[in-house]
Amino acid sequence: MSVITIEHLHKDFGRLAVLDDINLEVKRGEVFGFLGPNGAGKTTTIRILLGLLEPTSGSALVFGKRLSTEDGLRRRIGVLLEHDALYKRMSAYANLDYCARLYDVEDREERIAHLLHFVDLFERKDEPIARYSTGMRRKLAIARALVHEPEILFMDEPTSGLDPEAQTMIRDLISELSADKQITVFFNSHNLYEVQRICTKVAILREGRIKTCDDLQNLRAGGGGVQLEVTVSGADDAQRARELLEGIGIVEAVKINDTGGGQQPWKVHISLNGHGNPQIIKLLAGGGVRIEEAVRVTRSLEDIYLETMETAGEEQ
Amino acid sequence: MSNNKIYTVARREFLDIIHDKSTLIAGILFAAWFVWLHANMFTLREGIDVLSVFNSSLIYLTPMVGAFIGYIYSGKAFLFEKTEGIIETLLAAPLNLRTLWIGKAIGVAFPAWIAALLFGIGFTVVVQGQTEAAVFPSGPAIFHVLVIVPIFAVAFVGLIGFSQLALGMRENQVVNLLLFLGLFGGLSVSGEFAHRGLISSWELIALLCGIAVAMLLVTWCLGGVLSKERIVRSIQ
Repeated sequence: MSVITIEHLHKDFGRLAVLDDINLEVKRGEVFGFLGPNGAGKTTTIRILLGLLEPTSGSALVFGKRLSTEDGLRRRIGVLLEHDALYKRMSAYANLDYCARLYDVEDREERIAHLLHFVDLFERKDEPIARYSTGMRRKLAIARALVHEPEILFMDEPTSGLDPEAQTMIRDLISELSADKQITVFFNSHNLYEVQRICTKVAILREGRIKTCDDLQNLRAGGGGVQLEVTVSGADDAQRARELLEGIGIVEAVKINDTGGGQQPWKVHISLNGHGNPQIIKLLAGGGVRIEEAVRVTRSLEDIYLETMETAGEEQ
Repeated sequence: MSNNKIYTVARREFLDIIHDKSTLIAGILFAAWFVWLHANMFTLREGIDVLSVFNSSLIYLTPMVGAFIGYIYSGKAFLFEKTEGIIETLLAAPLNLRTLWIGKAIGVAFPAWIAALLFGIGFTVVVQGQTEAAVFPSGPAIFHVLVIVPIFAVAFVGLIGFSQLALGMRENQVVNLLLFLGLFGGLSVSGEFAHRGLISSWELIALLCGIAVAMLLVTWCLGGVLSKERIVRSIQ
């Protein structure tokens, strides 16, 4: 079931088109990574979803409704934007208490204590947060976003400006939220490593347009299929492999790489449109191809991102 | 619009101001300086109608003191939250924009009114000491300080809040400068009215009450102009 639906979303600031025909869906429980360079339109999209900006045309719905007109729905979403949005002179407890009151949380004390334990700040709950490190503040900001037990959490660059240790801490927290509490996370970032670690679905945005949107697993496997890299003993084996694979239904493409300038090893790249690795290997081995190694290739999100950006650049 | 939420927002703003020593001290020092400045005229000027000047001073000066201190305190509640990005998160909460704005205005106006009240009390004590006479505020003056000044303070802070939320950072710098100059001008004009011992009757109080309520209504109506989009787009 989709909890976030964006259809033909356009947003113009004056004559500048910031978002151009954005379409996407996020299902309950997904951790959705919204990637793109600075100025791509990620924050604008999140602001429209939150009802802070109005779309020029198209729709951006949360639970099937527009948040800008449904104040009650806001109780079902949590927000952690680029800034912590915490009051530095106030204690951690007072910050959470203020937010809990705004969201009409029942059993405030119990809920706040639970969250402070969850983010490991209970022992320092009465200190003004001006004394906290940046990482601790970020953790508290996550607790603030969760104070009313939201079903969806919107996060805009949640680890921006944090040191690696704090980034890991925040990532682990987000993974825990998704795994244990089934919270849907809409995650804006340009940290590819982070998105690869925690997201289940990814969209890549460039200059206001979505260039790629799919499950991360599919993207990494090569767009819904499987990539195999078979190292064979010589040029004749590579050629034989090509002949054997041609005309096979599940094989989309075969590419031969002479990585050693005419020397070994020879690599045969095979793109499959489904799963069939054992059959392919069996076919090659049975056909007399001398196989040294066969590896299922997955691309990193960085490869996918750079490829997408390159393709988008060429299209222009 | 929920009264409970207005109270929650107002309470936070109030607590934030009283916990910020530098802001609090600035307000108190300003009120004390104003007491000293205006109470002096009773020893410097001869042949004045002490009671009349005293009451008109309370009527003309307390709203200006409240407004000036409200101006000092309002930056924390509105502009600071915009520059720190806090306002965006608040706007995403289940909170009507008008509730948020009015709550903030009340939370800032309340300590500003307390400061104006302290000015009134301090002024009374000092004038009594200087003139060695039993000088007490008149009925209209008491009503003015207790009822009209807080309405005026809420309306004034609400207007400042409106401009700080609706306008961009550069525009706000210009508005703040103009406001500062305007307030100083207002303080001088009020001081002049006060020193002349102009009328401090119930009719004047009714007029001032009408002005304060009209300001409050204008502030309230401006709430319809303010939108989340306008605020968010003026952040950048």
